[in-house]
Amino acid sequence: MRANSAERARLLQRLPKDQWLEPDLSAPSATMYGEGVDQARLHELVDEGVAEAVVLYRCALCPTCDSHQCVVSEQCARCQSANLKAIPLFHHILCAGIFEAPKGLDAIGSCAKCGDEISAQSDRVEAVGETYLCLECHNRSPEPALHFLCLGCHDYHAFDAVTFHRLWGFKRKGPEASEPRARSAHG
Amino acid sequence: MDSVVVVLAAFLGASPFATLATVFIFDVPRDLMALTSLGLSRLRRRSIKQDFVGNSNQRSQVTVVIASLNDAEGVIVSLASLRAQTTPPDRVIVFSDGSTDASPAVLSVLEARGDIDTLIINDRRVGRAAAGNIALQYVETDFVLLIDCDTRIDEKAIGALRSRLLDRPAAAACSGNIAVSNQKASLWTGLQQLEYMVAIDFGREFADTFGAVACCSGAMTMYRTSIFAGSGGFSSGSGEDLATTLRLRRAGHAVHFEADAWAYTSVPETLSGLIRQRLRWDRDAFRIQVLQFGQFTKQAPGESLSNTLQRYDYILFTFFPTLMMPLLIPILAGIPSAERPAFVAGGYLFLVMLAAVILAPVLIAYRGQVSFFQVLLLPLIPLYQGVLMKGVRLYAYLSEAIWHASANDGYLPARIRKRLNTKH
Repeated sequence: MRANSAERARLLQRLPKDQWLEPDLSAPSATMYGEGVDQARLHELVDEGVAEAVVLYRCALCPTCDSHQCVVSEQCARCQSANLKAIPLFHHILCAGIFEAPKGLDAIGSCAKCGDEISAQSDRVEAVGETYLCLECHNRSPEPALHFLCLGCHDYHAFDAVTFHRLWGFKRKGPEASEPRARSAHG
Repeated sequence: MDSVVVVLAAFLGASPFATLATVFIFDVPRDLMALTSLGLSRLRRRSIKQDFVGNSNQRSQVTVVIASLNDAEGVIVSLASLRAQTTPPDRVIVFSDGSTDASPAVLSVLEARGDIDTLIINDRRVGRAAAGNIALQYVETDFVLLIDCDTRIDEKAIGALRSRLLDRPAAAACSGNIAVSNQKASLWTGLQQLEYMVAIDFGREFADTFGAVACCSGAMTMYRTSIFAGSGGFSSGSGEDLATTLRLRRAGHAVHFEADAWAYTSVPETLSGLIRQRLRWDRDAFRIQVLQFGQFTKQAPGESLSNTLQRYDYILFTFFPTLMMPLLIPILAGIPSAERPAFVAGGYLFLVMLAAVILAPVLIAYRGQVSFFQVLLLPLIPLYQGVLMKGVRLYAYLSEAIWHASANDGYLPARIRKRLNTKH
């Protein structure tokens, strides 16, 4: 159902002319443009040619609190602790030995497998990524488990439990509008 | 019939030395040993309990590691066979070693599906040895099984290997039996299957009887994690399976072969592919056995009998017969030219007859499947093993001894090869 003329006028009045009305990412999606401001109605104004819209962000929606404050969080795959330490792994080419060097190569001294001298300048040693050590349960993994953490409600969500949405900026149509913070190309 | 007798007489009557040298060069003594092993191994196996079915409620304490380079399809084949195990592994680790195709994406899907427990994607290729050693960082079980990514393993394989290592608490490793999965693809794959039957199913079991297994195959070997990881895992370079086995042996650890743990692997289907593979294998064997491990000399004052037997197995039945191959030239030159065709025909007929005597019981007693195709290939065995493969091995030895041909082997990434070749 489309907005009536009174509601339309009220919405238009609330739209700034010289800057973009941006969504409040910490609010539930129904009220992120303000109490009583429906995003669908704002798009109707755009369709009517009296307002403009631009995509500002593409954000993950928290399935628990309906806000858009999810960030990617690294966790231990075993105990879900975030207390992870990334330790560089090195490959000693001469003996195929693999060793950790948490304090750098020069602190290693010699290869634990073959006894050969090891230094940061040696071309016989190469970095082969990192191992993630959980400081809580001491589990090691080649990669941390990735989840979304909502900074609003502090719930963790699996990647496939979260949906992504385009979030728009709106303004009344007029020549004096400023540039949006983000360009539509990012949408 | 008369002509058969004539050519046989031409060969056997030429000279006792020529007959003996030919027999030796064509691996007859080694194959006869394999035949002898039939009786010994079957007697021994009767006393071993053949129940490898695990209890699915208990952890098997086995982690499987598969290293893959641009071969997601091969990993899928291996994973399917892992799912069918009577003793399922506790964890499956797949290492994508510098894959440049779509396999990292495919493997990620397999991980999300739960077929892979730990996926390691390494953007820069490090080679099989280092890949295995990186994966070893994440193994927490008592045993770790390393298989090639195109290897399909029999449903009882993990149970059989684990059972053997549980029976032998001091053993560091146990390798499995290998059959050719594409044995009917070509003449060459059929011949390789016959070769594997003798050399692996019977040959390695015979060596295992004396604790003299020289190589725990890269296709499928289970290691005791504490010993394997404690010794630094795989050795560097190509031929890492052989070098690692010899290193473990030298450190005093026992290694075994379990004939009831089957792995099915695909082998080269063309002659050129087969020759390339064997040149690499034989160059590696020469470099590791002769140059690196100096198998001609006693390793220590108290060298174990099994290590001595392992050394002599290589020296007497692989190294010397290969070097003796050029002796065939003066032997043939010493035969009057008029008698030479009959001598060659008689010699070949004699070798075919010996091959039939040796391989007939092998075909009967083989634990895998035997096809009529393999029986038809019997007359080609002396030509294949004694001439073609031996010639390839001789060339590989000479090329390695003279110009270190393995230095250009693409099995390893170029930068690793370069560092290894300039280590001294």
